[in-house]
Amino acid sequence: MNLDTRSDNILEVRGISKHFGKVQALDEVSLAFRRGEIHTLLGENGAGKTTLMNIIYGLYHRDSGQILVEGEPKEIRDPRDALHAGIGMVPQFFKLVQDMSVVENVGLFLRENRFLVRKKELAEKVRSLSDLFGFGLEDRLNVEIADLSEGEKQKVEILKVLALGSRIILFDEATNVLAPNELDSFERVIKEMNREGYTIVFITHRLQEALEVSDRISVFRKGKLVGTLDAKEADYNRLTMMMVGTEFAHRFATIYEGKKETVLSVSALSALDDRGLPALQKVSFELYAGEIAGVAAIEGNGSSQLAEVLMGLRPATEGGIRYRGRDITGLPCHARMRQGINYIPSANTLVPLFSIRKNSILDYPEKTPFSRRGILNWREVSDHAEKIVRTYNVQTPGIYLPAVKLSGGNRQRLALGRKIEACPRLMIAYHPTKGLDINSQEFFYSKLAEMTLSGATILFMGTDLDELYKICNRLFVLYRGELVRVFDDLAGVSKLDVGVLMTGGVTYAKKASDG
Amino acid sequence: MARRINKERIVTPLSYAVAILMAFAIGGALILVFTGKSPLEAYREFFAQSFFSTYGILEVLAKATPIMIAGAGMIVAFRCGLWNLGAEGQMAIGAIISTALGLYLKIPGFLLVPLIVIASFVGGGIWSGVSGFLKNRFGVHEMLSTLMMNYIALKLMDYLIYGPMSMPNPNYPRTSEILPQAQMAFLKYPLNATFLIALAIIPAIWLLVNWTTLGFRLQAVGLSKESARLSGMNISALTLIIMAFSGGVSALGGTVEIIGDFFRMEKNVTGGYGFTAIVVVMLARQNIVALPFVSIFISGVLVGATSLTLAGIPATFAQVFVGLLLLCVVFATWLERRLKLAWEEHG
Repeated sequence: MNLDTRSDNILEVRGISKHFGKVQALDEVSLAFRRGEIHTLLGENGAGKTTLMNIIYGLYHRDSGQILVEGEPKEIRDPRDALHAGIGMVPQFFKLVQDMSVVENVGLFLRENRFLVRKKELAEKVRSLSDLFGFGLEDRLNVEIADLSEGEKQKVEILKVLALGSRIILFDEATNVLAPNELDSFERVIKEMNREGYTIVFITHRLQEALEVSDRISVFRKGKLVGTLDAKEADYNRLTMMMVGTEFAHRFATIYEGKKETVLSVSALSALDDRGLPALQKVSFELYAGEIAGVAAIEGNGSSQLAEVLMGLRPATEGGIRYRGRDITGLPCHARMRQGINYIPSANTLVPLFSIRKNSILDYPEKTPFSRRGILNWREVSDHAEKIVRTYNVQTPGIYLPAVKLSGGNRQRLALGRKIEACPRLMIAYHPTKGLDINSQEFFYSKLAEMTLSGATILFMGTDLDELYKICNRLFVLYRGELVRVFDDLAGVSKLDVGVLMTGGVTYAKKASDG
Repeated sequence: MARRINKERIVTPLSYAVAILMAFAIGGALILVFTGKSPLEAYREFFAQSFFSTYGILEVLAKATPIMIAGAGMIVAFRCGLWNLGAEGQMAIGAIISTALGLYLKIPGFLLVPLIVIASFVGGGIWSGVSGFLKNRFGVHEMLSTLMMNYIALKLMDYLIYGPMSMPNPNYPRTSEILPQAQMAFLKYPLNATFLIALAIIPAIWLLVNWTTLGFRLQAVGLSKESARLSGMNISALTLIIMAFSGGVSALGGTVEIIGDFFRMEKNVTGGYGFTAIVVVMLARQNIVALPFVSIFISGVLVGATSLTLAGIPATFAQVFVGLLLLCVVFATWLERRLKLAWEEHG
């Protein structure tokens, strides 16, 4: 720790609240960051950690609360104010110019923030910074960004904020973009910066990293700060419980007692993510008619890629998919949909300028009675749209309104209604209830249950464990692209059991005992 | 709610009227400044030639025929988010096929004319389908490929006129006249029966876009590729269909020039209408219902402009005027948005 006479807390937030629409993203969060510490913000997706960071960096405006830098209240309206106050952010998605060199990118950032730079001085500065922290970029200053690895690009982002003189560095999901072999180097860099007296705020949803690099860990859940622990007194189980909570909500689903007619069988399925790194590794499982199977995974552990591979929107590098006895591994998305597989992606699947009526049949215009021999029957489509609007509580003055004019929740209810009314045999749902209010969620769950009664199968990739526990018959746990556990029966399973698996606790425990 | 819709109905024509008046005012000022002639005199001559005489109106409608057809083809693509700028070349392909069949295929007219129309449609479709293929396969932007293929088609047409299809001992480069049974009759000279083809295409495309599942999908792809993809639509196949269909329709613009106007192929038989159609489609804001009206209006400007030479004003003024009109409509779009915003704010 630093022996400084100035205020001990270099940065402090007091009573910060922020809401998006009906969702309370942050609720009265107060937290102090000590000078020269590595402070990790830990939580599930949507727990509020990134929102807090964006408020500190001036990307979002808080509804209420206060930010203090060096004990003085500071008004941070945009990133420029934050940088002025010595707060820099290393973003998750890099903001670099691909065909400019390392030095030029740093120079661009400085100039953008109203500094005069001379190229030679700049190059010298960047070189010495890189040398000081052991970045290994000293000889690559004139290399174009496009030729760097993801880890090196991240170091350029770090150099940018260092060159501007920031003393507090925020890292947003810094390890998400890194290949496994770059993680060690990243950890070294962080510790090196820390030794030089920088204060580091580090966002992650990976417990292991939090434990390995931090001095202190703050855990967020559902917009609230659950608590702050010294890394020394923290352990896996305690952090997991803080992250996911202790008690499961009441159960909605019953134990599945079907006769196990296999609908989908996936064998040794592997796939890459957008960066070409392994995202799914030899995943095998079966889905049965009439069940809701849940996938428990924290974002970045392969669940979105699994959904895409199953829908034919992402190629499988290995393994096969059989649907009702037929090999569909090579079929494109539209062919799979024609066979009764449908998909609720997290992205909005409405055509914004289409009316509600047109959007109500977006994935199935060719279905009778909506059309016959390619000629649309708009009266039937109107009835269908009216039905969705009524049943799924889409609040609108009429079905001719363009979807873009609906609020987020109404858009989502329209999209969900359309998908459910398609009556698919197999539904793959990825974070379908994100952003829905409680009533709509409950209604959606009951609709899913109704679907299973008529023999449909649902693969549900939920936002949080409560939801999965509530509606699923079986539960798969994905961690780093591997299917680490299948719970065939959720009775008696505790939140901690699942939470530990999701966050890699088992692998960690094994590694610790090996080491 | 009802009151607001009415207001919106007023705003659009109002801003268009302002745009047209502006174009005439600025055009008049230009006439006055650069030629010293009276703009009122010039405009009177202009309208007398185009809209205020029977012959003028018929000529305006005749000239609007290829523009309307090429524009209709283009709108199909534009509505689907594909920028087919190759109407001129597609017209040339239509003209080549029509002339070849019209010269050499000695069958009765009731068979020959439909065959010419169908063959031109298919030929034009294959021609612009190439751009669709290039986009799917190699990611070549259709704006570039369609634009460049214009010149290939036009040069191909020139080659055929000068070479293999040239008439014996021509005064200037052209083919012989097509068979009499391939020549469509005039409704009333100079308006040819091909105008009816143009009039039939408009509702046909309107029906296709609004009443078929294919048109539904095409629009979805055009408006939101990502949503269409996630809804299981085959983007590549739809892209190919759109490009081919759009090119096929535009090719008919060349066909009507051959079987309804020139009755032979000669240099510049496509007359730049494929390029004029781009402006027309933009002015019609890619709206198929507005297309015939805008086509006729622009055709009127082109016809009227020839009369301006009589008043001592260069005929190229027509192009200046069309350009002015386009600029003014851009202004009108801005004006329209401002008016709507103002109304929304003040209730």
